[in-house]
Amino acid sequence: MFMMMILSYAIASYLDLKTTYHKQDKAKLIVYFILMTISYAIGTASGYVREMPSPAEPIKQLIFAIMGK
Amino acid sequence: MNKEKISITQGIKMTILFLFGSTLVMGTGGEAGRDMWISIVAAIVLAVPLLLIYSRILSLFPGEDLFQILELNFGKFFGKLISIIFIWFAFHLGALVLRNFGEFIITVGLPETPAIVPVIMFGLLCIWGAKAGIETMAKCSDYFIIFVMVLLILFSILVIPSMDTDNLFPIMGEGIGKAMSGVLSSLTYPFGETVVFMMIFSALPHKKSAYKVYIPALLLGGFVVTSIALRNILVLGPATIKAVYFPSYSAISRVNIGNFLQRLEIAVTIVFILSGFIKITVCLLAATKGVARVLGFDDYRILVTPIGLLMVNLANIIYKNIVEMFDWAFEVWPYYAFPFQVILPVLIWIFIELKLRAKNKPKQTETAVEDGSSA
Repeated sequence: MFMMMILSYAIASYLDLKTTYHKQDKAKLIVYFILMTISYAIGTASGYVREMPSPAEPIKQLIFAIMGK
Repeated sequence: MNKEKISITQGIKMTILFLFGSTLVMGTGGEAGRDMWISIVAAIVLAVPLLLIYSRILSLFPGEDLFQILELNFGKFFGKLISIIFIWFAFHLGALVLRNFGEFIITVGLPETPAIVPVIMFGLLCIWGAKAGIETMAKCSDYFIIFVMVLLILFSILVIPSMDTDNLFPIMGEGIGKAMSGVLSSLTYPFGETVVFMMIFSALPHKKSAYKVYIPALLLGGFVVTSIALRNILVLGPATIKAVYFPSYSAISRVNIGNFLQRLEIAVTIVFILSGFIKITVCLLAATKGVARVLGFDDYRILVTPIGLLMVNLANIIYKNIVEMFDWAFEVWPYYAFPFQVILPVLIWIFIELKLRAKNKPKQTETAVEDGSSA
């Protein structure tokens, strides 16, 4: 799965940049790869870790704490 | 950034489809039981001033989106800081609707399929849509609205034989408090969610366009949402509505014309796909445009795929199961969304109005002095 994810992200990035990235602006490319890496890391981790931490639970706890529920 | 333009009619159609989003399938205002339609009507009434505030903010700065307005009024640092809050809201909302879609598909059609599969497929479609831009989305809305409205009217007519007016009475039988208990949830889901359009409505043609889009869309969309809620109550009754996850799907499954015309419920999926597509794409577009503005990029398109894939990943991990999804949607969402949809926009509006008034005051005083001296 690990390799499959890398491969699919690499193909997606290649195709995407081929159609979108025309101007040689390095700042955009860096942001692009940072976001893609984060996305890849979360995607791969969710495949291995059974109970991935999600933002839903902390938000719920915070709101209930504020409301005193 | 490229200036894209959409017409007022296209804006209305897009907003209506956005309002339908997942609301028509998941329902809203369920806390009020058989009086949920009263809650929805009350929410529409409350949403009118809210949407007038959104329109006022946009009309004060024609041709600008929320992110630009925030930077113009709050300065670079605070403007970007508040922009990040709104970006998170649009991003999170998109992920939630994407997950709703995934859960709906695996619950009603593909129970053996992992939820991530429809989420990825639909996510890729929305990335494609967002890359095409708001003009393409607006043109899509032109066609989608016809399909959605025809299907909704057709279903509502076909299901008439299964309706029972006893399900509706007694109106406000459990008191006005119970009837109004669904107002907050209906206000925040879906009417207040239109705050997302403030982030992309720089594409509207002229100054007063925001009013002409927001209010008719709210009234027309609200009317349809109320009608569908009424239809579901009449067909299913309050007890069944509480027991099922997707009331519209269950209501349409009751269609049986002469043992011939039946099993039409899967067509509800078409309504969800068309309106959900618009809603998720609008959220993705808003989040991407916001990130591009915060980072100072001249074009948002390069960011659509990574942010779209992040949205898919968030949709995948955000809930453990459908029970948690519904618990969050009805118990937590109204309180979570309220600051983004009501408190922040109202504070921004007050700040902008005070700032503009203070800016105009010295000019008025100068004119008065000049008039006095010339006299």
